[in-house]
Amino acid sequence: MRILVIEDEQELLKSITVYLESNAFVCEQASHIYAAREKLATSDYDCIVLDITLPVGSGMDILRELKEAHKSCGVLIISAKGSLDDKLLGLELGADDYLTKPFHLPELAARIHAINRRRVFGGNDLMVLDKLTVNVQDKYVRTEQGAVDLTRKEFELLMYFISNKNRVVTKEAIIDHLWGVHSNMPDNYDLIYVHIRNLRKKMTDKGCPDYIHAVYGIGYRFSIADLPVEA
Amino acid sequence: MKLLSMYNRYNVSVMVLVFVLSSAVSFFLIKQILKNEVDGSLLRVKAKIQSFVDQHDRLPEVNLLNDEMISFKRVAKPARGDEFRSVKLFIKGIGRVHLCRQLIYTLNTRRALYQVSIINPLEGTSHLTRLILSVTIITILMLIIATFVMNRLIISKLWRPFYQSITEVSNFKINDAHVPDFPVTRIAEFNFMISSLKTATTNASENYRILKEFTENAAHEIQTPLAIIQSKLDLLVQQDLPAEHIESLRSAYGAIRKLSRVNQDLLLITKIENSQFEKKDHVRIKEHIELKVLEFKEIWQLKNLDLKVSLKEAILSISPELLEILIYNVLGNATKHNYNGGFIHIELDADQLVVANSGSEKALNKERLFSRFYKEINNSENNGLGLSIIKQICEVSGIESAYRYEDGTHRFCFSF
Repeated sequence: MRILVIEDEQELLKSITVYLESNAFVCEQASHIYAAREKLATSDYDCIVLDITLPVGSGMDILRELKEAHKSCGVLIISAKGSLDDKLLGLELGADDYLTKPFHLPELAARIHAINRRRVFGGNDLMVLDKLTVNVQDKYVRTEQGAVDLTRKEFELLMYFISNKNRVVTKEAIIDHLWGVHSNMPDNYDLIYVHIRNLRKKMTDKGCPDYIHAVYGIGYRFSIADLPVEA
Repeated sequence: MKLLSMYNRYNVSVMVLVFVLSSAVSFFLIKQILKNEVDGSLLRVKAKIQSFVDQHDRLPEVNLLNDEMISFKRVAKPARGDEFRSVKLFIKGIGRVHLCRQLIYTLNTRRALYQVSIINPLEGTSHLTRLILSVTIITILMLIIATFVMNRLIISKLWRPFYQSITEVSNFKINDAHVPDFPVTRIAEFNFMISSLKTATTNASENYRILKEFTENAAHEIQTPLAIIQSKLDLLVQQDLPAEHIESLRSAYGAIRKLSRVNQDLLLITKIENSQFEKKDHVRIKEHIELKVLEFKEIWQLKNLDLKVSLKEAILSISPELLEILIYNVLGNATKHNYNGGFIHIELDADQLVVANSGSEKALNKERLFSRFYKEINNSENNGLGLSIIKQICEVSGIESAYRYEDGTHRFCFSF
């Protein structure tokens, strides 16, 4: 999947690119609006990660130009502003999602995957991962031995892991993903533990190997050992 | 007491005093003048008698037609000279006792010495007293009436700019974009006051705006470095690191999370202060609370909290986002500061929401409760902004918040 990351902050641009590339994306970088325009004119991308505040121009300009050019790539806005107006304007101009800085890189990957699934498959695809078959639209998971009956949160958790497979996701990233960054819910690591334990048990009960591994108490890694990185 | 009535009280009493005094003084002066007049006429009579005696060498006959009453009395030795006195005598012509002036002197004829007494009634003094008294009373009455009429008509009009300015200042809110509209007046003192008030309010608003902008800019500026640190940590954690490095990484994660939260909360507070949330009418609070209760249920079950929820319909005009944040914060606090096996009671009526929870055995500091960065204990999970956010939301939404502590129960009450 080809991604263009437009971000003026070099270090952040690097991190995003490194993480996404390790996550089976093909990334190109643009640190200002001119580079972005050039790249957009010459190549096609599946998704654009777009910073709104650029030194010259604005990410909104890029959005408008994309709309005028009838380009059909997904757009994920990343912005330090996080104001509702910005978000609404961005979504109105055709962006698919909006992420406020600071964010967890796994969250970014999960959002890009979600955008991609909606755009490419219309959300109606069946994903097959090792022994798991996932219907994203109907939030339905099954194995050869039958349906894995997951709660909404467990399904979201599984999707999050799948979007970041073979990567370590921290407990904090999981909390923010499941409950939202702004929820201000008390951090409860026990709750994460309970959800992960249930998810593991439900999958292993249906004949899956244990995909989820705890990493030093800092987080978890979802890995399917014998699977190529590109799903 | 109003300044005006105070001023009037002094003004009128001094004026009354001055009038009474001046009336008394004029009364005595006029009386003195009259006395002098009468004394003069007595002396003229004396001169007439003297010239009569000189011409005719005998005492004149007393003419009863005249006002003066003259009497002669033989004496052995002469008195010192003219003696004037005031006496009260019964006057036949008037029919009552009247104040009179009497002149007594010794008349020296060739044959004998006579003591002469000339008496002339001091007419008009009682008239004068009455007149002066009534003039004084009427003047004082008119003065009082005039003062009050003046106040009603003129002075309250003159003071109007003062009251208008005071009303404007009392309506002035530092976080409000509304600039106080001070009246225009020609009165120098008021203009001085108004210009001072204008400067003060403008300065306050300006300083507040600068401070707010600073907070906002600072928070925004922090976002990007935070995002970079966060992303670097997210990359680092992917490496195969030795356990002690992972431990450091975990601490770093914890710290950056705390910092992000503080930043997020500060941004939220400035946004609320900037009124960037739009109110909506007819927001059904019950539905919002029900949704949040569902989200919290897992945590509550995990903490073995006893939950009692009684919700009635309540409709409020509030920004739905803010309502959501408010409920999250209130329920979050009730959860965070609870112990395993405690309780949470949520009660919603048409006009109030009460959230009661078990918690520490000590009441929170009521005064400082809603101030920023207030912490009862240095709880690492908390940044002390939650209640400040609650307060801000309540303020902009016209909700009254109250806190009460009773036998280990912390009770937050929100009245709409």
